[in-house]
Formats: sequence, structure tokens, C-alpha cells
Amino acid sequence: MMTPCPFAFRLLDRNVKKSGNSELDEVNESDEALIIEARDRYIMTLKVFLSTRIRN
Amino acid sequence: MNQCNPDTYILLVESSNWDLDNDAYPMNSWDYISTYFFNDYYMKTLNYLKFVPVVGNFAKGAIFKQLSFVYDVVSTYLIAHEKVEAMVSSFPIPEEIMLIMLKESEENRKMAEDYLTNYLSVSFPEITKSIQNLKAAYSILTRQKRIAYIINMSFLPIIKY
Repeated sequence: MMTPCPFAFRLLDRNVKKSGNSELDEVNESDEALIIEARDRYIMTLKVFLSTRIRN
Repeated sequence: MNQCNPDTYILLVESSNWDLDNDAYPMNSWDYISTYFFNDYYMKTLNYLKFVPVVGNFAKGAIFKQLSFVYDVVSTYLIAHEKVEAMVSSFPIPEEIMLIMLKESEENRKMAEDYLTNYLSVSFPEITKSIQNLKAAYSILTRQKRIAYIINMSFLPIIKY
């Protein structure tokens, strides 16, 4: 079995602890990402709609 | 129907781009748009020049042009938001996020509506009415043109032979 080098191990360990300690933060972050995605979708739809309203 | 001018389109797309650039924050496109309207100095100057003998007519024309632009922007902005709000329910997003989107959009829309009903229609009632008449006339003409085009296209093969 391969063992990770100390630096990689520390990095992985820190990430695992971080993710374990802040589950709530993660949920909020994913919510935030969803909101941003929804906002982008809304604005792009608005732009498409506006392009159909322009007078030739 | 009820189409907008190219300048209006450019301003509205710029405001949408502004929102896209700041997508981590709530939508505030109305703030961006309103900075174009709240230039009282320009309107005050035109109102003053309106009574000057030679340039009066030009000033009146400029006031009408400015207000029709403002009216066009606000009315198109309102229609666009109303339509997209109706489409939000078909987006593949969770309901709570959909509600957040609707709230943000509604806030912007209400500010625009407030500007239209409490400022434009109250301060310049005659100009607002004449702009509405012009827009309605244009819509009817466009509709007529489309019907005429359809009739022409349907009779064209018959006329040919």
C-alpha cells in the first residue's frame, strides 16, 4: 500500500477535518452556488427575452 | 408587439451584464438603470430653455425624446421581468431558491413601477399619455403590417399562376 508523503498527508488531513467540522458551512456554500447559478440563469433568460423585443 | 428602441435594448442589456458581473450579490439592475434618469440638471435646463423663444421648440423636442426613452426603458424592463418571473417556475432549481429569485426580481420591478406611476405619470401626465398613444399606434401598425404580409404571402402563389 502506498503511503502519502507528509505534506500531502497534512493537506488531506486538514481538508478532511475542515469538511467534517463545518458541515453547515458546506451546505451554505452549496446554497450560495445554487443561488448564483439560478441568478445567472434568470439574467440570461432576461437577455434572451430582451433580444426578442428589439424593434427592427 | 410593444417592442423597444435599440437604445433601450442596449441600456437594458448593459444592466443585465452589470447583474451578471455581480452575480454573487442580489440583483440590482434598477439601481444601474436609474442612474441614467436621475439627472435632474439636464431636465431642469431643458425646462428653463422651453420658454426661450428660439430654442424653445428644440428644448420641448428634447424633453419629449428624453421622457419617451425613459418610458420605453421602464415599460420594457417591467414587461421583461414579469415574463421571466413567470418562467422561473420552469427552471430546474429548488423551490426556496426560486423564491429568493422571485423576491429579488420583484424588488427591482416594484422600484421601476413606483418610478413610472409616482414620478413619470404624475410629473408629466400629457407627455406620458402621448407616448402611450404613440406606442399603441405603432403596435397596431406593426400588427397590420404582419397581417398584410401573411395575406400577401398566402395569395402570392395564386397571383403568380
